[in-house]
Amino acid sequence: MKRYSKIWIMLSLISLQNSFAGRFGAIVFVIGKLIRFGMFFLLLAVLFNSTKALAGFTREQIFVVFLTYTLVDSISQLLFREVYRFRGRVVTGDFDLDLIKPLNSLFRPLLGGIDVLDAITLLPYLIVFVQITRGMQIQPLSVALFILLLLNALFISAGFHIIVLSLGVVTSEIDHAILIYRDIFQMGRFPTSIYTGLVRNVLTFVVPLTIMITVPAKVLFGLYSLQTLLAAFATSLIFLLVSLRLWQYALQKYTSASS
Amino acid sequence: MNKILIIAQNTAQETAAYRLNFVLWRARSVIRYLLSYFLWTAILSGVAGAVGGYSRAQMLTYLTFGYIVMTFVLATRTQDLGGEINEGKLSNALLRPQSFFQYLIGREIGDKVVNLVFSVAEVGLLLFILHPPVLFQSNPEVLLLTLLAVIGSTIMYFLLSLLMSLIAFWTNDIWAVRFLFFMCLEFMSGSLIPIDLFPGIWRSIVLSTPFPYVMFFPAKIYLGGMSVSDLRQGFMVLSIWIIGLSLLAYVAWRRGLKSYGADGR
Amino acid sequence: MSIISVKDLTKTFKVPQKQSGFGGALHSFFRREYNTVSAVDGVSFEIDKGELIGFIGPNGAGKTTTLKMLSGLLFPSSGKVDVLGFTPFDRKKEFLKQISLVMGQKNQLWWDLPAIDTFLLNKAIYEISDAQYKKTTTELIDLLDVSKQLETPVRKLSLGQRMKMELIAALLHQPKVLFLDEPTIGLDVVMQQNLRDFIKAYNQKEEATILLTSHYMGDVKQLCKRVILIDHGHIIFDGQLDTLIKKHTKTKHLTLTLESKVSDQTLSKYGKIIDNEFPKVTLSIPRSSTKHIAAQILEELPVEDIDIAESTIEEVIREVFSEKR
Repeated sequence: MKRYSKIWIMLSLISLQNSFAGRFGAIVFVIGKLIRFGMFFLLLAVLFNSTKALAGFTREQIFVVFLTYTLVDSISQLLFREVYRFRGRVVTGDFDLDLIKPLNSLFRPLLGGIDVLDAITLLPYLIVFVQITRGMQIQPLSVALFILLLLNALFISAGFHIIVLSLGVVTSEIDHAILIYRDIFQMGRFPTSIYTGLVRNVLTFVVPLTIMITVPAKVLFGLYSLQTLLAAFATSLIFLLVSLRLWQYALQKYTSASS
Repeated sequence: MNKILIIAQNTAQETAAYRLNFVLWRARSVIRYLLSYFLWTAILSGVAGAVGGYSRAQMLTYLTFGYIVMTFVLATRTQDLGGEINEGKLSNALLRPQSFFQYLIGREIGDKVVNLVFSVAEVGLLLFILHPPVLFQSNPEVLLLTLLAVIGSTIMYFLLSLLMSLIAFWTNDIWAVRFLFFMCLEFMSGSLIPIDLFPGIWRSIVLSTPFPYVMFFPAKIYLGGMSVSDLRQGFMVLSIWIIGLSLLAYVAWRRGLKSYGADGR
Repeated sequence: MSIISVKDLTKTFKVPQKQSGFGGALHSFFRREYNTVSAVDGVSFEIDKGELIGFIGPNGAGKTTTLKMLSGLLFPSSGKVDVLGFTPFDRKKEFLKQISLVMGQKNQLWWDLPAIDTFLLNKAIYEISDAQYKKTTTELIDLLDVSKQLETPVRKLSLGQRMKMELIAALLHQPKVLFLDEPTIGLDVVMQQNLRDFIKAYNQKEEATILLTSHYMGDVKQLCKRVILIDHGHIIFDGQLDTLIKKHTKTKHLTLTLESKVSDQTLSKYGKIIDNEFPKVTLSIPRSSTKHIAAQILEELPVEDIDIAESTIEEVIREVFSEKR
């Protein structure tokens, strides 16, 4: 475990050095993300000019849901940025050089390149989060549960990224898989109770946005049940196990770049 | 004219070749539509009457018609131009046996037709599955104005996207401007919230940018009941943008070619 | 006890069939047809500690696929593989710490950073102690003479220097088994020789077992006493290089230095002409009648000097491959 921490820190430092090489692009990226964040808030404010509540949620509560989405989304991208580069490594055969090392085969593809830019944008998100929730009188227990559920969401997110990596090992069409996942994930900007029918089922069972975003947000308002919590943790556990198994299977099917 | 049609056909066939790419792109568009659809259904189902002048039927009509319009307006191949310039392939393009302009238009038509067909099919499917209470406009005057707006928006976006690609003459980071553009478009096109729900000053500001003309303006006209002054204002701003962008594009093209040629490619 | 033991190893791939035309494209959209290709088909061999073995074969013969199964990258379709007492595909930490793979033209070094950063990363990955790290790097850097380039970003190094750094990175953890896949490809003649000398020295000094695949006969000639010939996934020869040459050539080469020109017509009486450029002539003659023909030539032709040699390895191998097809 200590070895992995050390290696992860070294990889992160390397990633940091590499990202400073393209400074202009980096700045534009950060600005774009902050614009998007700010604008969505304005949008929500406009929305609530016209209506008092949305699917039973007050304005502050909707804000919190959006902020929860932002946190999960940002931290995921921060941690799993390397997944976006995976296809390149498989196609050039560099992935072989990763596999030969005495490290867990998932380590480098999943966690090997944290995105420093996402770390930078995380700060304003957190500040806004604290501001908004300040007037809400949240119990310390709720905060603890919230953090636990955030971690839970990250595990589920990891599971999805592992599935994408498995796809990348077997075929090479993963760029789209990731983008579709991100688009679906965006639907979690609002509480999943606004969706109905097939869409809601998909967002509860297939890409469990309810557990990843809506439930943690509701915990902060003091709305939770033991059942839901257990379901949340069980889901992430099962999901992770399934994705890990899929990865093992994918490695068996791996054909490697031809020499 | 024939040449343009042939180019359009080729472009359409290219799309068939990059099937997976295209299907996934369509899937992503549908997903984004669904977000707005469900958001407003949720907001408007609890409220008897309307919000900001939009009843449920009106809002869903706005979103659905707007979806087709936006797909059509945004469908373009002008972004390829940026890459061609950066990679030094422009010389090849210029040597083609038809005018470069014909080439651009041809590709544009090809891409728009394919996307139009698909978006109409998608809407058909969605209407069949979700049964939203959409309204069909029958007033011929309104329909004419809508058509005019769509034509204007199409031309405007074509010029704008072209301009964003022409930046490639002077820099390699062409993705940056497009990236920022789409960030703004997400919020100011009206695809999430109709622009006339924006509070006073913000509404005016946004309506002077090109973004709302990609969806809000044509879709709102289609709904009917747009005031004459708003119509006049909208078309005026649209025209100004078209004229301004044409001039900019022309200047950028001439200047760009000069500096491009100087590199001896 | 062999260090590498392979029995009936097989690897098959499914290659999708692409059909032409629009109708074909539509058809393959719904029902993909696959061809099953045996890259490696029932291969068996044993390798002992300290051997330096050459895997030779044409492109697509299955050399690299075999190597990748031995190093744990690919999952065998069937058969048994045992390296250092481990099943490679299990990818156990203890196993991976004892092997290394170097692929020609591929680099594990971080492109924008100096090589030393990659070394330090590997030090952490392979859990090498500070003392051992210092000792090994000093030795290798010295041996390969790259001390001045340690702090230079890898992308600024020449191909040869990069290869040297690559080797250091691959050998930091003192692997017991080293897999080299086309290591000299793309290098200039001087670099190739340097590399060969290094590999030979490393093999002797560390008693490391080395498996080498190569296209270049120079690599094989200089480094490998034992060679394994693979074609279409089958082993067609496994043994000493000398034996291969002796057993499988029916011809020898006669190189004559002539005092005066002799026509092609005359020369062809004695054997197949390989080269006739006055004053040197090279003939290929049947092995069995070497003495007889040589004696004839010395009597009948104006010969100043005569040399009898084995045919080149390239020819030997070409012959073996074409024989077995």
